[in-house]
Amino acid sequence: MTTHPTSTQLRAQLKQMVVQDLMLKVSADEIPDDLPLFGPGGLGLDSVDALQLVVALDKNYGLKIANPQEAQDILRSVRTIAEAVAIRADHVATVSSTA
Amino acid sequence: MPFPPLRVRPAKPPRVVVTGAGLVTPLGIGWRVNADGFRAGRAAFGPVRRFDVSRHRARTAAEVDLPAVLPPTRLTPKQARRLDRASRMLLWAAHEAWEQSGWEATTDLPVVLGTTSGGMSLGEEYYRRALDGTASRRGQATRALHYLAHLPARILLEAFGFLGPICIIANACASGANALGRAWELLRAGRAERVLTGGYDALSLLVYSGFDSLQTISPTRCRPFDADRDGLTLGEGAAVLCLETQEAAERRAATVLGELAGYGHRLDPHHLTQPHPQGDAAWSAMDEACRVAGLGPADVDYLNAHGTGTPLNDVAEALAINRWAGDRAASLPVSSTKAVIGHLLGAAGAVEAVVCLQALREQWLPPQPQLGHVDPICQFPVVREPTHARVEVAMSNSFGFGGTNATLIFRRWG
Amino acid sequence: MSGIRVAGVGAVSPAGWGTAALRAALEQGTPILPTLVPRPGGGQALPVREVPRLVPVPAWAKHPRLRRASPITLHAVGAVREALSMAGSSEPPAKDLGLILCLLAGCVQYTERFFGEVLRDPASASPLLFPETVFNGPASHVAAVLGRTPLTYTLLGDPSVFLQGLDLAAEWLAAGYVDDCLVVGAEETSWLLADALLQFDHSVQAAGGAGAVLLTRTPTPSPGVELEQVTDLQVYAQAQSRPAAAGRMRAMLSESAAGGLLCDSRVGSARLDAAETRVWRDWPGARVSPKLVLGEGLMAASAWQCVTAIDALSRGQHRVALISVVGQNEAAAGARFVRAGP
Repeated sequence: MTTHPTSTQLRAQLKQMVVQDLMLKVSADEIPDDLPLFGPGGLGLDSVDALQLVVALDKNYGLKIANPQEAQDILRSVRTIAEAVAIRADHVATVSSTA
Repeated sequence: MPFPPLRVRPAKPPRVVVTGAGLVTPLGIGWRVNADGFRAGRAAFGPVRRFDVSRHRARTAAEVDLPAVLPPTRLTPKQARRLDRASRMLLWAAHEAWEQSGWEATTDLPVVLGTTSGGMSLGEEYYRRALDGTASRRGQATRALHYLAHLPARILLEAFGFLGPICIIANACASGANALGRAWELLRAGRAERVLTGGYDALSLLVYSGFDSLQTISPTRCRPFDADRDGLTLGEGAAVLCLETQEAAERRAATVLGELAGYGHRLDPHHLTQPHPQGDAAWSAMDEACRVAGLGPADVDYLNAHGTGTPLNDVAEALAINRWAGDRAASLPVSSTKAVIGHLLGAAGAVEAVVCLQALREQWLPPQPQLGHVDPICQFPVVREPTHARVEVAMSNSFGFGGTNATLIFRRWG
Repeated sequence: MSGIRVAGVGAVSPAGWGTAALRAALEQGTPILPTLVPRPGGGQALPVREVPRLVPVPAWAKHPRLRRASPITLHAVGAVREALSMAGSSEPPAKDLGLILCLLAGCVQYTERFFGEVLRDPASASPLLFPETVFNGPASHVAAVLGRTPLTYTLLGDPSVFLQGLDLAAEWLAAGYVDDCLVVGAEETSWLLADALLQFDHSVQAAGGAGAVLLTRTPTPSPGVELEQVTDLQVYAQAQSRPAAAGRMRAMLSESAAGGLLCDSRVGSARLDAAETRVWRDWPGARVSPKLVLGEGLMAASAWQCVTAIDALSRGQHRVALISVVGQNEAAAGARFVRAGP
């Protein structure tokens, strides 16, 4: 588990993960924070990519996405993913501090 | 089947008949136990026992209860001992078909089989040992060899004492139907008088984990065309059919189980894992099979759908069936026997072809057990109870990964 | 004459992308140097002969369907594109094509990677990898890139099955199912494949690549090349040993005109090549063995043999070319191409 990175650092890491895990032919910095990952005019990902991201986010950031609806909301763009990862990280921080 | 063919292409293609059919499924070994199971709609699902699924999302499958012994064949004890699960299932199915056909050993019998994973479990064992520096390398060459999809076909040549070219088609879940279709093409082109054909696939950790990673396996139970369907169930098995020209069968006064009257296949380039939403290629495979058989939707008494039970496949197939059947849809009995034995991948098309032959021979329609509310997209009735019916023409759809679509049409004989 | 003509060929091999690179390597005659593939879990690295990387990545390789595809698919698409462009086809093709894609090992790279992840933890095995492991993945991608291959089969078997693919294509053309039909043999290398070949012979090195032959019924500009004959697969069994099958294959190949070219499947191991060497020991004419230079390309190597023969015929070096494939574990098969026209 990575230590709690700043949001810009987290977004950069997420872009690197997206490029590597999904075998994208673009470089990480070519992906704007708010570019839609799915649908027309976006990065052009499909449902198999979505499943791959769900697995990767669980493996690398412990973020558990329970159902397709939740995935649709979280996987909208790199920014929305980063927010979900950050929220989860804060949640874990508070839980472990109060345990 | 050399090119140019030794025999001149017949002006009018011969009719192709089935004179032997053998079946190994999660319902059991042989025509009878399977016919009873399909007629009653007895689901054969259970917990996975072949490998550990404690870290998988899904837990169920439809496994074959394979006898420890093999059927009597010409195989030597050494050859028999070496057979993996996939070959053993194929051998049982082939033995039943061969006995039924009454064929003798020959040096001119092509074999056409469909499979998606061949001897995958041997490949897995090979991988484990190759990765583990300490593991013994003994038997690795045999594993690498018997992993190959054409080795079980070579086993059939030895088991029944014949020679002939081997053709293995790996068109994902349509492989079984494509194999029967290729055999049909060979017979109609006058390139053979008899062909041994079918499909086989055994459950393997790699393939089970693959479908599990794609989250396509039903966490509850496989309910094709059900509005609340949530995925497929993987099965395993084999089916083998003896196909020959009408003349060859009549020359031997052989018992004919049915006629393979039509075959159509199309590739849908839409996506690697998802069918085209409107099921265009599925429609044209059905249309082509009918055109060749000289039949229309009104002539079809039963459609054995591909019907995996996944949300995507069933809606695409339903739209294709609606469009292809037109007015006939409202009265066309459809069912997916994957609700009973699961998805047998490379064997599915061949097993479901035999189900059609059983429906034709014994005049019933195989129901889907515990079918709930049918998806309103379906403009056709889904068979939900054991049903006696007049069945003269039965059609079987098989579609698969990579956009493979194949349809077979069988007609009652005699 | 059969009326089945060759409209175009394409090849991707350890010598490079294109038939010209294949021809140059065979004329030069020195074996391509292998690269070493590390063996996971340590141990000795394994020599394989890989297709050179495409740098920079060409436009066609950026097709969305090829993003997740493994090298075998890129090899197949590269060979198919060359064959279609040689035939003067538009891009994408203007008419329906048949596609018969033949392979032996198939998508080994992602199969290994995916199964490795399954062994580590099935819960986190990559969903993106599994669809790319299926045998008909490459055919599906080629079909998507071309957009017009309604009739598509993926055939598995040993290298003799590429000639079975030519036979099947000729039948589809004769039956009028399609006007043109692509027959492709493709493979990719991996440490596990190299390890498996070692179990049979220490001198054999796995090679990646693909070859494509575009057959047609419509007349091609003369002097064309025609597929005149493909033998039945002579399958190995107790009743027919590999040497006997190879002998029957040669006996079935008609060798009317002298001065032909024999393009055989020898790989450079005296033991593995024994059957084929003995069957053709009295062959008087010219002879080429692509695998001695390119390595054991399995199904792709049978395609390279056909591309090499067709290339020689179309350049007027010979009037007749015989293809001899004595597969490792399934069958022996032969084919005969002839120069049609002056």
